[in-house]
Amino acid sequence: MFQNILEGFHLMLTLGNLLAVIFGVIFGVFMGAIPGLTATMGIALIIPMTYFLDPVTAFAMLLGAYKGGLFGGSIPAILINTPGTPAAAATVFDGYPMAQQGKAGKAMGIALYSSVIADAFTTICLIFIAVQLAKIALKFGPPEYATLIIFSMTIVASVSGKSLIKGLLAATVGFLFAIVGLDPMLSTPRFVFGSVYLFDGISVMAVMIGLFAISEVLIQAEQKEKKSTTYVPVSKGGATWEDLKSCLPTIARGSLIGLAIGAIPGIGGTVSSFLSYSEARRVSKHPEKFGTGVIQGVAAAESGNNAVCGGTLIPLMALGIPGNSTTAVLLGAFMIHGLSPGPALFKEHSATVYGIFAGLILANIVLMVIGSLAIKVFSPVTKLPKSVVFPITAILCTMGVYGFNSSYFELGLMLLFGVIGYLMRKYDFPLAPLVIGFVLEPIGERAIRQSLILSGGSPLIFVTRPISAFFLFLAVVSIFILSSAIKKAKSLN
Amino acid sequence: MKKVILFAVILLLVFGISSLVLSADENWPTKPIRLILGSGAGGSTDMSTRLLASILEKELGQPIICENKSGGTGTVAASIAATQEPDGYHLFTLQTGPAFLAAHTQDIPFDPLKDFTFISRYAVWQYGLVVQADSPWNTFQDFLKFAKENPGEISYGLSGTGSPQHLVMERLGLLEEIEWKAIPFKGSAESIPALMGGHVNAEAGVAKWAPQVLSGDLRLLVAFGAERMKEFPEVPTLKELGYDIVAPSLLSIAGPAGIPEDIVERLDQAIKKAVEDPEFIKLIDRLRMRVAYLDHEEFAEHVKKAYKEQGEIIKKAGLAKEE
Amino acid sequence: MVNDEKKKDIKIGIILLIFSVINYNIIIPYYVKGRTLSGLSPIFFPKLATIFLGIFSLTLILSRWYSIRNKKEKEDNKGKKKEVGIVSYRSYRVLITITIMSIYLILFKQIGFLWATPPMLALLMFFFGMPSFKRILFFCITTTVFLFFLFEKGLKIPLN
Repeated sequence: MFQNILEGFHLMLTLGNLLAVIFGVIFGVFMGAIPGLTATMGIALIIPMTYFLDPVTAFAMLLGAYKGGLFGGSIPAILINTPGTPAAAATVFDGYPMAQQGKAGKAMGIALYSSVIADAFTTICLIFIAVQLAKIALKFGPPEYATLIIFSMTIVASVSGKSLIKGLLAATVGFLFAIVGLDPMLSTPRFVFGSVYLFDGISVMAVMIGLFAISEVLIQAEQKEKKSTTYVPVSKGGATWEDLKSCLPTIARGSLIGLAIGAIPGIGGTVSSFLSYSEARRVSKHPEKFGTGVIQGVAAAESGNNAVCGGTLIPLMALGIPGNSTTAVLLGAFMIHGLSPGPALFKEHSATVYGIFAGLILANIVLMVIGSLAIKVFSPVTKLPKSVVFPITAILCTMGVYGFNSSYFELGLMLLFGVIGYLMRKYDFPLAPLVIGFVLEPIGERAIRQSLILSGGSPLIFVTRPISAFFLFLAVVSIFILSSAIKKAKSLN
Repeated sequence: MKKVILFAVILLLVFGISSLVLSADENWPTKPIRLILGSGAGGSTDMSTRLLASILEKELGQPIICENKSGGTGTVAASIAATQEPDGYHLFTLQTGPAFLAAHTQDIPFDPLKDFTFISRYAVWQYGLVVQADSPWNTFQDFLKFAKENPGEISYGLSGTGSPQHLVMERLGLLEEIEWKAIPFKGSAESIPALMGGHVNAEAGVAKWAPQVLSGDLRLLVAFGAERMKEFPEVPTLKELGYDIVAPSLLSIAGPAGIPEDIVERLDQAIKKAVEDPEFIKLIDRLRMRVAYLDHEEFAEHVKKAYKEQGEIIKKAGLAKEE
Repeated sequence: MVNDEKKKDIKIGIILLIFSVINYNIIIPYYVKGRTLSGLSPIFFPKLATIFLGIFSLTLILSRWYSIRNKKEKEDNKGKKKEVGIVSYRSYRVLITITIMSIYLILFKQIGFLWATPPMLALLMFFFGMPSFKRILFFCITTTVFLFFLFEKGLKIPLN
C-alpha cells in the first residue's frame, strides 16, 4: 500500500503536474467564487484541454478544480450573502453575519481550514478504505434513502430560528416548489403550466441565488446610502489557532457526515452541509446563537460540504459509479482517457490510480496555499461601499445563473425567488427550511414511491430492513429530543 | 385602414425579399454558426457534439458557437430551436426524446415532423439489459423464463419513465405477457448501484454499465441495438433472439424547418466527413456510443417512421398523454 | 413579540391558508395529472404537502391570535406609532429595484449583455446612492468588460 503511494508520488511529482494542480485549484476557486458557476462547469470546461495530457496530469488538474470549487463557494457566501455553489448555502447562515461584524477574514479563514482538514480526512479514507466503504454504500436501496431523507427533514427544526411553526411553513413551501416538474416515477406533468422549461423542475441555482443574494440586494435597496462608507465593517485579521481549536470537534463531525453522505450516490453536498450544521447546533452549548455569526456554524457547513469531495470519489474509484454531477463529469473524463474506474482500474492501471491519489494529496496542500491567497485577494471587497457591492452583486448573480444553463427563463425565476426571499425576510420567515424542503423532497419522494412499488404497496419495507429501521428510529428520537427541548424553552419563558 | 394594409404589404415584401436573399445565400457560411446543445455541460452527449462541432469548424471555415440549454432530455433545446430563423446559422442537437417520444407523452410546443429541417444523424446510444454477475440467469432466455414463471417478482431499474429502454422492456412485457416492475431512478448513476446492491433484479439502460460488466460485477444479457456491441461481441441483440425490437436512439444535428436545400446539402456533406474523422470515432467508442451516420433524406425518413412506431408502443404501454 | 408582528403573522397565515385551499381544490386537480398505475400516484405528495401547509398556517393563525388575546390588556399603544412613512418609502425603493432588475433581464434578452449592462448597472448604482459619476463610470466599464471577457471568451458561453 505505502509502496504504491510512494510510487504514485514518484509519478505525480513533476513540475508539469504541480503546475497542473495549481492551475486546477486556482481555476476551481475562481469558478466556485462566482455565484452560479460551479466546479462541475469548470471541470466540464477544462476536460477538452486535458484530451492530450497524460491521465495523471489531467486528473490532477480536474480534481484540483473540484476541491477548489467546493471551497470557492464559501467566499461569496461570507462576503455578499450569496452561496457561490448550492452546497455553500449553509455557509451563508453564520458566514455573512460574521462579515457584518467585521469578521469576514476570520470566517473565510475558518472556512478554508475546515475545507482543507475535511478534505484531507476524506482523501485518506478514500485511499485506504474506499472498497469497504463503497460496499456499505451499496446497501442503500430505495427504503434506506427514504428513511435517511425523513430523518434529514428534522434539520428543519434546527434552522427554523425563533418560530418552529414558521420554519415548518417555509419547509412545506419548499416542498411544493420541488414538486414542480415531471413526476419522478410516471413523467406526468405537475404544476408545469404547459411550459417545457419546467419539465426538469425549478433550477436549484435560481432558487438559492434568488433567495439569498437577490433578497439581500433588495433589503439593501431599502435605504439610500447616506455617506460613502463600507457596506460591512472592514475585515481585520484572519482565523487564529484558538478559533481553529474551538472548531476541531465540529470539523471532525462534519467530515464524517460528509464522507458518509458523499459515499451514497445522489444525495450531495447541500444535504451534507445542512446535516453537519444542524448537528453542530444540536451539540452546541449555545444553540440559540447559531445564525448570528458563530464560527462553528461556518466550520460545520464548510467541512460538511468539502468532505463530500472525497466521499463522492469513493463510489467513483471503487465501483465506477458517480455520486453527483461533478463525479459524473469526471467519469466522462476517465472514459475519454480510455479508463474505466472501478476494481478493474486498480488491477490494470494501478500506477495511474496511485498517481491520482498522490495528486489528491498534493491538491489538498495546494488548496491551503491558494485558498489563503484567495482570501487575501477577495478581502478588499469589504472596503467597498454598499452602492458598489450590491448593484454588482445583482449583475454577477444574473450572469452566473445565465451561465449555468444559458436560460432566460431561469433568470426570471431567480428574480421571482429574490422577491419571495425578500418577503419572507420581511415577515420573519427563515429561508433555510425552504431550501431544505426543496432539496430533500425530490430524493425522498422518489425513494418512498420506489420502495412502495418494490414492496407491492406495503409500508412495512421501511421497518423490516435494518438500516432503514435505524434511520426511522433516529428520526423518532430526534423528534422526541426536539419536542422536549421546546417544552423546556417554553417553561423557561 | 388603408395605411394598415399598405404597411402589411410592405412588411410582407420586406420579409419576402429577405427570405429570397436568404435562400440565395451562396457563400454560406459567412458568419459564426450557433449550435444549441440539448444536454448539460460535461455529459457524453455534450462532449461528443462539441468534438463534432470543432471538426465541422475546420470543414466549414466558420466558428461554431455551442450553447448548452439542457432540460427535458433535449426538449427545451428543440422547442427553442423550432422558433429560430431557418438561415443555416441556427442549428441544434436533436435527441431521442423530442424527436420520437415527447410529443406522445407530453404537451410540447413543437411538432417533430413539421417544425424541423433534418440534417444528419451521427451517432446512437447503445442500450442493454444487465443483471448481477452472481445471479442465476446466464442468458436472456433464462431471465425471461424466470420472469414468466414468477409474475411480479422481477424488478428492473431504469432512468426515466418513457425512456427508450423503458419502452423496450414494456414491449417485451406485452409480447411475452410478463409482469415486471419498472423502478425509475434519477439517471444510471443511481440505477446501477441499486442493481449492484441487489435492490432491483436487473437494470435496463445505456451502456453506462460497461465498466461494471468489464470488471465482472454485472452481466450483460442482451443488447437493445441494431448491432452487437464492439466491446461485448458475444452478447446477442434482441433482434437475433427473434424480437423485432430496436431501442430508439438518436444523436443528430437539425435546424428549424425551412433551411434552404443547398445549405442542408453542404452541412450534411461536412458532417459526413466529420464522422469519419478518427479522433471522433475514437471518442464515440470511448463514450460507448456508436457512430451511425444517416444523410438528411434517410434521417428524415427514419424520424417519420420511428415517430409513428414509438407512438403506437407508447399508447399500448399506457404511457401516452391524456388527450 | 409586539402585537403588530403577530398581526402580520396572522395576515400571512390567512394568505397561506387561502392558498392551500385553492391549491388543493383548483390547482392540483387541474395541473397535476394522476394516472394511478401503481404505488403512490403523482397526486399524493402535492396533496399531502398542501394539507400540511393548511394545518401549519392554521396553527400559526391560532397561536398568534391566542397570544394576542392573552396579552391584550398588558400591551399599551406604544407600538402603534410606527414610522408608517418610512415603511412605504422603503417598499417603494424595493419596488423600483425590482423594476430595474426586470428591465435589465428583458434588455439582456433583447439587446444582449454588452449593451444592457452598463446603463442598468449605472442606474442601480446611482439609485443605491453612489454620489460620484466618475466612479459609476469606472465600475460600469470594468465590470462589464471583465464579465464579458470571462463568459464570452473564457468560459465560451455566448452572451447573445
